Amino acid sequence: MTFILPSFGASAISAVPGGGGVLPSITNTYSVSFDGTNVYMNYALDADLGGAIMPSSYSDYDLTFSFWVKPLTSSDENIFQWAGVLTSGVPFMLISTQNSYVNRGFRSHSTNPTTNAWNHFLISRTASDNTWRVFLNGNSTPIASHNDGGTYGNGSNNGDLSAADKIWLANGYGGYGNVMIDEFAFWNSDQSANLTSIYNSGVPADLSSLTPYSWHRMGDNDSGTGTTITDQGEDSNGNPSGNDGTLMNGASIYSGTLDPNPDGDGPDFSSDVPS
Amino acid sequence: MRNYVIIDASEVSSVDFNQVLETSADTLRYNLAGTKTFVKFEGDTPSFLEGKTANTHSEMLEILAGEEWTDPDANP
Repeated sequence: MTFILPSFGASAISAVPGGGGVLPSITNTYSVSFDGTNVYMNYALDADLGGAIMPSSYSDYDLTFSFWVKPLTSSDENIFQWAGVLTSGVPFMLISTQNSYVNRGFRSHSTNPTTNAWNHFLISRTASDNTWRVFLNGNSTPIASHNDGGTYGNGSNNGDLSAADKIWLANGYGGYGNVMIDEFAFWNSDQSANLTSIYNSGVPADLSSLTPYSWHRMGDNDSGTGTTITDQGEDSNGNPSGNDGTLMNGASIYSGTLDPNPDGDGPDFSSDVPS
Repeated sequence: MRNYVIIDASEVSSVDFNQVLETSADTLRYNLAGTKTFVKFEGDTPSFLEGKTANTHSEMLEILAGEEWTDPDANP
């Protein structure tokens, strides 16, 4: 039996042993498709030590990214980078379908996501052990990990970490990703204890009770149109973070296909989202 | 269906960005030499692209995977 809990705070969810709390369901109709040529989405995300959202000491740097991705090829496709410029050669983070580069640590994933299917990634950095972990599809065994020793070295060869940093979806050093992305969320806290809740048996859940700092629903809350992806996250004061994303060069909200008569009762709208 | 057309960098000034899917001249992707870029469109061919070769999505991905457009050693 599954219980749908009302929206408690993040601490209530975390208190469930094994991260097994159940998040509320949410309507999810849209995702965004990136064609792998030159399309991308970006939004501001200040990575600066002691800046607006991160601690002043790198060793205290907790963070989490959660998103759903559908690789459209079996090649290694860029999913996102956290960097100062497009196609940066010195990103702080670069995550592709088959590799992760985080704070100077390059790791190949032990398991790759399934091509042409929706997969869930949760990437965390835990300050208490200075370790990055990449989780795939709710499995508690990471597909990559990296202990960065709690240090960060500024410099052109050591990756970007500045107030001007942005998240660049479907872009990274070496090219653009041929992928679809949905429910892209970020916390400046470690949410790995909530892996099971967030994965939610493969169906995106309502993350509101976990108060992500930024949460881009990739078309939902934007009526499935336009080139702005509204940030649904909020800051520590409960105010909208306001880091809206912009779709560039023809990145498009996937509005599905119209099946004229799939079940004999007339046209049906068929979206393409994790389900 | 999207059509992808490679143009010389010198032709960017003639692109009407209201007729292609690219956002602006500042967001174009160039080859490694910086001499070529491309734009894409759906539907009727914009007049400033008439006479040029239009590639399909799969054809364009194959072109972009080549060493003219992608550094084979591109890891940060």
